[in-house]
Amino acid sequence: MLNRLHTIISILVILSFVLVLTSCAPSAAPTIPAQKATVTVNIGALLDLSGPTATSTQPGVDGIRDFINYENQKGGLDWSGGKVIIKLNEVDNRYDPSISMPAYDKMVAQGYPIILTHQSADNLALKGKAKNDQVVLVTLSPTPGALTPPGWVFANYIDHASAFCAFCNWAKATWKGSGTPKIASLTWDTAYGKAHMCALDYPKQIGLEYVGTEYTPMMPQDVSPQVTRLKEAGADYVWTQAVIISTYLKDMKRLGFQGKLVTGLNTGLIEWIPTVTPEVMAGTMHVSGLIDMAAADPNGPFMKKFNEVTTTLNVKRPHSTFYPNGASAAILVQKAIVSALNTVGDIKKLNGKACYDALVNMKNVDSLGITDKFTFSETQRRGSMSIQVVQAQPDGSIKLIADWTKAPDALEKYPDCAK
Amino acid sequence: MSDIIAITITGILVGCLYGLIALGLVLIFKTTQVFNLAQGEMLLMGTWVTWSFIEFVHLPFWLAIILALIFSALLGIVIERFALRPMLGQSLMSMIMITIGIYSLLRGISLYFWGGPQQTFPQVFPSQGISVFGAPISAHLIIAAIIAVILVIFTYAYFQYTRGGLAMRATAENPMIAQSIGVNVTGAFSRSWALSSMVATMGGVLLGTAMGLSFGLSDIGLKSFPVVMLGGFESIPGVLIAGPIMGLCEFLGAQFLDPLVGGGIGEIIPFVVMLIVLLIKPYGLFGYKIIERV
Repeated sequence: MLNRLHTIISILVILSFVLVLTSCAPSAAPTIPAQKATVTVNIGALLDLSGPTATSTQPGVDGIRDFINYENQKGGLDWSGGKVIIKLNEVDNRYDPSISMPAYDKMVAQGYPIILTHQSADNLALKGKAKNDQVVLVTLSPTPGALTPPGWVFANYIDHASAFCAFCNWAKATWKGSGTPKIASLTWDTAYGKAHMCALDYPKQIGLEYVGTEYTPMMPQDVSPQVTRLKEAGADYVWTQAVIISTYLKDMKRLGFQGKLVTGLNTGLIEWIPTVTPEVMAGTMHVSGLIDMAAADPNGPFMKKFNEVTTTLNVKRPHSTFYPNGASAAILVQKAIVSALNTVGDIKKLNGKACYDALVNMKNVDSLGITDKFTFSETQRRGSMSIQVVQAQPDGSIKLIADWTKAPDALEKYPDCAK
Repeated sequence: MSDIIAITITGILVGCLYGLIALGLVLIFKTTQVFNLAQGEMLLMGTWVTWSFIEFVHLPFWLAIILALIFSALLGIVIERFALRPMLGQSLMSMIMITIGIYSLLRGISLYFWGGPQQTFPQVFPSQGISVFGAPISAHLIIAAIIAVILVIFTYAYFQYTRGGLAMRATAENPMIAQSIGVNVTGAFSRSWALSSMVATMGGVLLGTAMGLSFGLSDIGLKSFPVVMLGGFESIPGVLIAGPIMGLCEFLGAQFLDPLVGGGIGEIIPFVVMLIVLLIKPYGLFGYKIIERV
């Protein structure tokens, strides 16, 4: 009896081994092809969603969300191992770095390889931490102090001082008047208003004449004294970092000032067209590191994509200065993640370092024309160092008058610019 | 020369607008002895409401202003009734702190409903320049200044020649005695806040139609403080004199002193002038000198 029991047990054990071994053996000829996996990558975003700058930065936030959601809705981005969905985890920092800091720490603890930021204060506060934690910060605000010396903060476009230098080059190259063009500044008496001032030597270095700087409060009722002095100085171009320009334009027109107001990166002309008559706006220029939606070719790659994205997502987005900023940041993040995944080959190996390597090795990567092609390096943290120049026309339209033009690197030429 | 004339005239005209905004402060102080630190926010809120009526309800400009003035009056009455009246009899510092709280509350409400970006009014006033003594002056500014002066005059006339104004003056002088002779003291308080709020809205709209509308508009309220201190806390005609003085100081300072110091001096000149005048005349140019017999 006992022998019979032992025999049965032995047979059952042997059968079990056979079953286990056969199930482990590779199939000789699979009948169904293996499915490529869809992976999810979590990224963070520290954005002012309800604070003092919320509504002005909302178009940029919309750009980020739309371009990420669009790809996710299509099933994700392609990489060598399948598809990747990018999950955007936003924190409303209400423009307060004291809210951003703990939110950042939590994102790092959760293993996010990339965090999007929008404020200079956050960039400066987190620059050191990002390097220590080996987390990439992709910022919509090219804060010089955060980008130089190069660390783990990456911007999708050019800084203000370099844009100013690029404009000076353009002014010199296109000048048709007598003598040399005269450039001046009429700007806010704030840190932002002075963002280009570190490069004021540049016009002189290339043979232009810099004829004066005039400051105004952020909401001036009248700028007659300032415009009068600029008129006396004979300024041909007046650079401004001010975001509110209606009073400048009206007073320049009223006082018969012949020079052209040139607005810096964040002061697109789209938002100002409704505030003044075309006659007052005519001739005003905007220097941008991002595509200007009012002047963009409606059949160009970005505008076509914009229409496709907004139609697919069924959202209404007015043309604005900041929407392309968010869209290009989203594209940059997507390309970095896909490139990193292709390099490491496994979602488990995707981390900040992999994304960092992907970014610093990014060369001439298409950005749908929102910026010039993304190019980073070990020493360059601004994805595009080119500008476009658009100009308001007498009929109220905005026209592109200079396509992507490479800018000198003001942060390299003028160390003060990095402070 | 025409530039100096332009700057002088512009300074005076802008000062008239400062005077209008300062009038709101004077109205409240004159009746309730409270210095309203939320005046700028009341200005901003009334202006946002005006803009909202135009932008979202598509009302004509004149109707939007009328409705916004009604809203402002109600806002002033609500603030007085629920924030200030319970504090009657408390110390002056407590009353001022309440107005700081009102400032924060109105600021938060404005941010919540209207957010951050600059908005614009439709073109109501002509934007071109008018030649005055050979100097190009903004037509908009001229019209706005005229409206401001008319409003100040009307307010002064109301205080001087109407029963309501007399009641408010009596309340300001001595609320207990005023009440004892049948003056509705709390009604006078409400009227002063309502009037102040309406005046602030008008000032905001006149400025907003020129400069655009954003949160920086409430900072104009700060510029009205030196106007009030210079003109006198209780003097309505005082704001009509002090406002243009301050505007002139600001613009002449910007014209002649800014190049010497690199800019920004025009903004602080009114405050410097205010300090100098107060050292000589502590109650302002037209303020009432208070003598208490012990």
